[in-house]
Amino acid sequence: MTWSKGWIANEPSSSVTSAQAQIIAALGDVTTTAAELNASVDANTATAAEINNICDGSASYVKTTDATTYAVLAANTGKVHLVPDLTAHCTMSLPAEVDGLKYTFVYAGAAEDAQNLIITSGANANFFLGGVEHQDLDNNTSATVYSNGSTNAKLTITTPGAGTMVNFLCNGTTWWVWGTVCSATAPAFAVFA
Amino acid sequence: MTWKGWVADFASATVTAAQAQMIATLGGATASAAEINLIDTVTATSVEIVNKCDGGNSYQSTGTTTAYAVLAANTGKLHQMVAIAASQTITLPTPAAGLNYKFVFFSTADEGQNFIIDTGSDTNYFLGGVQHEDTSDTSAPVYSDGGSNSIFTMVVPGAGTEVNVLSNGTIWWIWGRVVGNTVPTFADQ
Repeated sequence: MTWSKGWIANEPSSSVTSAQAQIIAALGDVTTTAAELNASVDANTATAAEINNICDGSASYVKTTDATTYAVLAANTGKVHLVPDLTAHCTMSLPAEVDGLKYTFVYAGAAEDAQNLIITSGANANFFLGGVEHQDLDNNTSATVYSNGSTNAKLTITTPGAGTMVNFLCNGTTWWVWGTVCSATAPAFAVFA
Repeated sequence: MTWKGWVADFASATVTAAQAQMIATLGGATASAAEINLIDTVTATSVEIVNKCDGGNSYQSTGTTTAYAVLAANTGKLHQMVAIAASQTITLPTPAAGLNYKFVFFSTADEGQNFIIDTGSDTNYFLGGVQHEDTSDTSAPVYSDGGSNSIFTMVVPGAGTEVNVLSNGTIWWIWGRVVGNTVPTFADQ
């Protein structure tokens, strides 16, 4: 039901339903001021999911499964992805490219992994740009490893160990990559197929 | 004073004078209903959002005393480990799903003391490990036993040390890097 017009500031067009009236009455208990609302909500461009995935601690991480494939979800953007000690090589597929998608992959096993973690965009057109630091656990050396920045759409992290943390950020087409891989074997970038 | 029925003549929608004033001030909002309704699906608490996003509230020093209790209310904050005169034990709060902290060493020189992160109970053990970057030229991973190790000691750490912990409600995942001349250690209570 819509109540009579004109009740709000004598404005003829501002009619409200009873349900809206109840909400308006409830707003009397709001302690947030208009200035605060304008500052924090009006200019906000982050979605609720983006806020939750970074700020809500219990929603801020994903335990990836010990399987040969794993599909990273767009809905999990911003989350830390904790990778377990794998029993077989695992290929993780990034979701379809959308500007702003970002992920952090952390190796969280209790010992150095004997398997490899492969992260791919699934298409060379969606290549990786950037590189990672390789901390060589055998030779106690440190080196940089780069994507070719044009077709490399696959990163193979061979037998990762503690300290491995790799980040991806998408611009809508390509993926920036950076981070550290701790392993006896150097990681490698390659074309998808 | 409470008026009844003034909101669209809806009998149950009563408001006090203070509430009426608050509603009037909201008339200055430029945020749309859709923009405000975004809050409906935000599950992060105000504290969590502030601790992650409000720069001035996004960090916390562990101070210079020998014991420091990390607060659940400070979840998400970067915790600064500063120069200390004696080793410091940093006790984590009671585990709760989603509690997370980043500990970073800030000083003007390598630390001569240790920082010990303690969950308080072997039931609440660490899972994972850290990379030890030995400033004498080696690099090696150091792991928790993933079953009972609940004390993590950063021995005389240096710049570049950054350790993260994240709880699932019982255990604490741990990852990061410790830079220093001496290998960090995991141990039971």
